[in-house]
Amino acid sequence: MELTDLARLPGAADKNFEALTRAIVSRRYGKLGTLRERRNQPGVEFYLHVEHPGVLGAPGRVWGWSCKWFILGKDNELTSAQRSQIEDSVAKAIKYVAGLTDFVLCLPQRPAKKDEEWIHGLGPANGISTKLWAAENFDAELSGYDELRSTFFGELVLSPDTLARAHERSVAPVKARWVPPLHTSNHVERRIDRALLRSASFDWLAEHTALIADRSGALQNALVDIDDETTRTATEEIIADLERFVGELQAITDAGRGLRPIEVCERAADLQPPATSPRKLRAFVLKLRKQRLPVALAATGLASIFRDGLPVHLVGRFGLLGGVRAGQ
Amino acid sequence: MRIWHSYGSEHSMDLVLIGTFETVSGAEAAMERMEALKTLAEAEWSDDDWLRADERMPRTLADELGKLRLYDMGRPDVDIYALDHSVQRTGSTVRIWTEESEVQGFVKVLVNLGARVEVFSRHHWNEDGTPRSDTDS
Repeated sequence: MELTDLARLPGAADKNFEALTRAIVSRRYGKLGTLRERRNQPGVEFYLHVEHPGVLGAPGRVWGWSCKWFILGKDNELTSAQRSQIEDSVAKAIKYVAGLTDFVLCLPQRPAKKDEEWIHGLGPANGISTKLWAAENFDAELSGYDELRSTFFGELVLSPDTLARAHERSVAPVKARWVPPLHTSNHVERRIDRALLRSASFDWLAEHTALIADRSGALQNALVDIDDETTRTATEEIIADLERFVGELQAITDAGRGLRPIEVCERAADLQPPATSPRKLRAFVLKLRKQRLPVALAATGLASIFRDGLPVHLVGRFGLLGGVRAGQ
Repeated sequence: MRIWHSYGSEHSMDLVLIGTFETVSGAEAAMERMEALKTLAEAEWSDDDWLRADERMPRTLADELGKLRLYDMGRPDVDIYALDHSVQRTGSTVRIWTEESEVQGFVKVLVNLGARVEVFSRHHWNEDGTPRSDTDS
């Protein structure tokens, strides 16, 4: 198995490398603790708080994985720029990941011996342990996970090309009657989209979020026309609440589109319903209506939009993003 | 029921609904229904949670409406009974005062029990049916 083959898959090679590492770690070590990741997490791609004793050591240890898609030259040596990138990541990881004890550097190729020694020496100088995962380590980590290996390196590699060919084959027998606009996507396709974290699977959430943001904007614009202090304060409170909710939904969409499945699940599970309760919102709408303010129309129907957006909360709670959680 | 005689705020609809029944017993039946709806609405409004699955039309509400034989009412029709309003019966006439613009729940009960209904805002009309000449709204 050559990790450099990851460059042949669709998408950026460094992102594929991260996805593979994440999938391995979540499968092999996910039961030992909680995996965490955030966009632009400084120093590491993701980290794991050990909660149960096992191969990652005693509870309390914190492991972080950093993936660097470095293609080495003829002598397999790291360049000085590559070394400083690694040093920078170690320093940032120590600074931003509280309690970090183990830093795993993942490289697609094994560097020269002196570089390897340098990597191993980086940790002790900073009070942590550093480890290198290169080709052979990935090979070992993948043992027992043949389906994962095949997904990235074997016959289960599903590229848009292979899917297009498979589709062509399956419609060949009915080709004369095949009218694409008459065929719609079904739940299987949507489930695959979601498991693969395809951007389209987050469209519904993005659209939903935009609807709420629109309403919030309309309320904001209407503030100048509200001369009654109490109503204006109530409107401002509701706008602040809407903006908070919109921000949280946007963060979920961003995490999904940024291929950060663990963050999607965490954020979805942590998503709080609007602080404005259904009753308070209804009372607010009625108040605007009885004052015959045009903004009453923007507030009407907000409750339904909220309710329709809330299933994302349940998705996170029940871990229905099964494939996503596993990092496929 | 509380009777309001001051409608100070201009930030309200100041509506009056007058239901005229053929008989006194019809008006009494409407009063009973509205008492029951008020209790029901106040109980429903106390359960206030986005994650409640049947929030739009709770089962208990449907059951109670069934018992009252008010089959054409939805949650918003019931909700208005939890808001400030007052009801008074004089013989075969039932009068309702409300500051809200939502009146369908009141109209449904009155019409269901056989009333002819008149609705107006006191911003524009006096209760005796004469127009208010002192208003320009």
